[in-house]
Amino acid sequence: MKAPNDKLRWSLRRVRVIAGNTFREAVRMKLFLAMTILAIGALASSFLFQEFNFGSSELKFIADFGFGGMTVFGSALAIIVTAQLFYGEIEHRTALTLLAKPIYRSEFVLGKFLGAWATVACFLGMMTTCLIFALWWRETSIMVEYPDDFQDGRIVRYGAVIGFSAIQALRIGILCSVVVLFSTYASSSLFAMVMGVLIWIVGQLQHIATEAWIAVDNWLLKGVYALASFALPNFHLFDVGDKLALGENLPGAIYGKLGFYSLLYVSFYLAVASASFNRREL
Amino acid sequence: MTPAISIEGLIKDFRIPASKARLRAVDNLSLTVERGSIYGLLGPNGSGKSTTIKVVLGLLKASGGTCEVFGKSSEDASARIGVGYLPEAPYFQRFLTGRELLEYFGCLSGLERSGASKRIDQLLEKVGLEDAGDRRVGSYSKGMLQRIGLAQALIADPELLILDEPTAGVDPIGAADIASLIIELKAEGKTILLCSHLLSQVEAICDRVAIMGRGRLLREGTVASLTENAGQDSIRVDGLSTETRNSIESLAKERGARVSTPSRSLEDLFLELARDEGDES
Amino acid sequence: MNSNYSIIPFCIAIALAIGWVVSPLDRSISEALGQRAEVESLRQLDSQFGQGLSVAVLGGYRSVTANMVWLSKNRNWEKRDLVGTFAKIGLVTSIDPRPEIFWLNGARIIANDMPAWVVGDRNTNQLASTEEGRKVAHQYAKRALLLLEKSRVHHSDNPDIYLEEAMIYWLKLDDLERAAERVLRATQAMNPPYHAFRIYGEMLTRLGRKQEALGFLERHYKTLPDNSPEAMKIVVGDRIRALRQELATSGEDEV
Repeated sequence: MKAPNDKLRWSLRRVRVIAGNTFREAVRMKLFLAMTILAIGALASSFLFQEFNFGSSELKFIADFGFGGMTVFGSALAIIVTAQLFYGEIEHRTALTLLAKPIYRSEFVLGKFLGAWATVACFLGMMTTCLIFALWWRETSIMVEYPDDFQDGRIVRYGAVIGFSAIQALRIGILCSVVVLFSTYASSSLFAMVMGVLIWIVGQLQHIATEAWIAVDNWLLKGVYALASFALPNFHLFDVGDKLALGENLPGAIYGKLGFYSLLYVSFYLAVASASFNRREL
Repeated sequence: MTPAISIEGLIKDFRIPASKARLRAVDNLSLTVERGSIYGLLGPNGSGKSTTIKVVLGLLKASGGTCEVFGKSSEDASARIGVGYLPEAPYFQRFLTGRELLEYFGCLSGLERSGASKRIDQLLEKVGLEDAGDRRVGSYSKGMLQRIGLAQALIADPELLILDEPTAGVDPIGAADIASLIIELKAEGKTILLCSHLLSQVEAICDRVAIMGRGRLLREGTVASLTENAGQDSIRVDGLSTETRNSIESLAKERGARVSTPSRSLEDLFLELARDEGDES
Repeated sequence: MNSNYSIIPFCIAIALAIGWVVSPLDRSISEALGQRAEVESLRQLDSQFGQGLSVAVLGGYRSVTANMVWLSKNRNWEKRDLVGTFAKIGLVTSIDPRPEIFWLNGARIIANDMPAWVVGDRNTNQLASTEEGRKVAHQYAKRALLLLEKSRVHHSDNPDIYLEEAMIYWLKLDDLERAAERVLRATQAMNPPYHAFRIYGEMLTRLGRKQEALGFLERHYKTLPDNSPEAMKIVVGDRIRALRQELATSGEDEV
């Protein structure tokens, strides 16, 4: 046991403990149950496409909707779950007893972020499994009905589906870190969620702001577009579903670049969140 | 030896939202809590006790003055090594069982994994929750929450315990048990900072007491010094007949003495001071 | 209470700095994904659809948006809404021109279903038997061909598009020559389907170019794998033998 004269070292173990407890909270909050129902619902709805007799193109429809669902639901969950799991501790005053222990606030911030991210990543994993199952099941049926479309064997690249899921996990990491940042400052979880949604939308359309700030002449507008294009991450970079659904290959380096991009923004937002939370009075 | 808590000229202001005004919650407070003592911090609601405790725990930053815990600035996270805290009306993660909660806080407090299970069992028994350890904290009664709160404060065998209303919501027997536990902890050499509205309890177990009002220190000292009346002596009369007792009383009055109840309780003093503060406002 | 106001400008400054530093990385990723070209092409289409659709499309939900419009087209199709169905086919192929199913099925609906809607279900025989009917059938067949022509920008070497055009020329416009020319192009495209070769052989036969058909099928036969049901090597072999017999009978060749 530590003595009062000991120095306190920043500890990854404490971060892991907080992350693990946060994940456990998500599981016991029946969030997982809700996410599982959502994932199964999404899987079931993809079977409706067989009514349309699209042939092998049905697989593209299933993939498109699966990818879209992962993106939309995953992003929405990232915002809601992170706000609940982080701000919830402040709102319910459980953070008080926790932060009275010998832990650094940055450990708390990082631990909460990792726990929330792991929760949403699990949801992505569930959706991916459901999507792979749906695609495999329908592809097997369609191969019998429309053999001409499958001259070279199965056309769905299941590795690409997993690759897409991994890239969405990177996007969600950034979103979670943004919501953590706003939660350290917020006086209600609603504020953190609303700001998260705003950043999501602006980040999704950020690539247009980038084009616009170059093209526009008005200095005020130029400034606004420049602010949006430089100050926020470009979530559109993570929209790789279209390419993958069409059977195209992603260059291998893309995974590394997106990973680095995500790591940079996550690190920045968490660093600011720690600084903000250090100043927060409880 | 460095005191457990050393507060010098502590000031804490809060900014009032949408206004440039500030609310001074603690105003130039100075006190010292020596190691191995039980120190009572008293005051009516809004007197600044909780704010002071939060500054000691690093949950709030001082606006002025200094606050040290075992010689380290209270803003330093390492100052909380060896400190256990039971908040007033404690809130804990409802989804955890009692055992899991203690394990969680134990890990965060630096409790070694190898001895954790044994320590948790000991503490659950000590606070009378050995049968409720596997139930979720969300199902606990108020009294049980206080007990588990005490257990988590003790999980890492801290040198300094800060207890804010430890007997709130606990039945009289439970309250007596907690008081005995506190005395036991003092005998082990621990330092306890105790906030309580049960003045009789504070009077019985505390070595020193500070009474706060409107953010300021009103009185501070040993219980005995606070409760004795200066310039007065007491003569204890036991087993005398009423006649003899009356004779002694008459003699004293003849010599110019006032005969009355020689000492007052802490509660009397508290109420007197609280009323004075109220009148001043 | 929070007192974070003074760190906000500092954080914005660092965020801008990070954005500026990663902008080359941002550009490199979006170029590798073809997203810059996409923004350009989508901006041009912006005037064609409402703001909600624009946001969804530009916000990265292009495929899903196109799929949803495609599915909603089915409702127009069920109601035999000529204008609505036509408009949605155009819209979908504008939003997302990449999937061939939109072009192929769109062309089929225009060429096959719309003429029937115009003349009525009871009078579909008029599409082939009367002057007016043939006019309607030809009109929609040409519209379908126009649609497929537009697809060339994104599907320049797609054998399925050529085959669809061939079917329209043959079955709707009675133009077997043009149809055969399209099927030939299909056989010359990347990854042509086996049946394209068989169809071309059949078309040459119907055009009276049996010798040419025989030569074509013999060359094709040599490339066929033995164990592929789709290749139908036996069927092609039978056709070759039949052609040789026909040509021998007509005195043009010896087996």
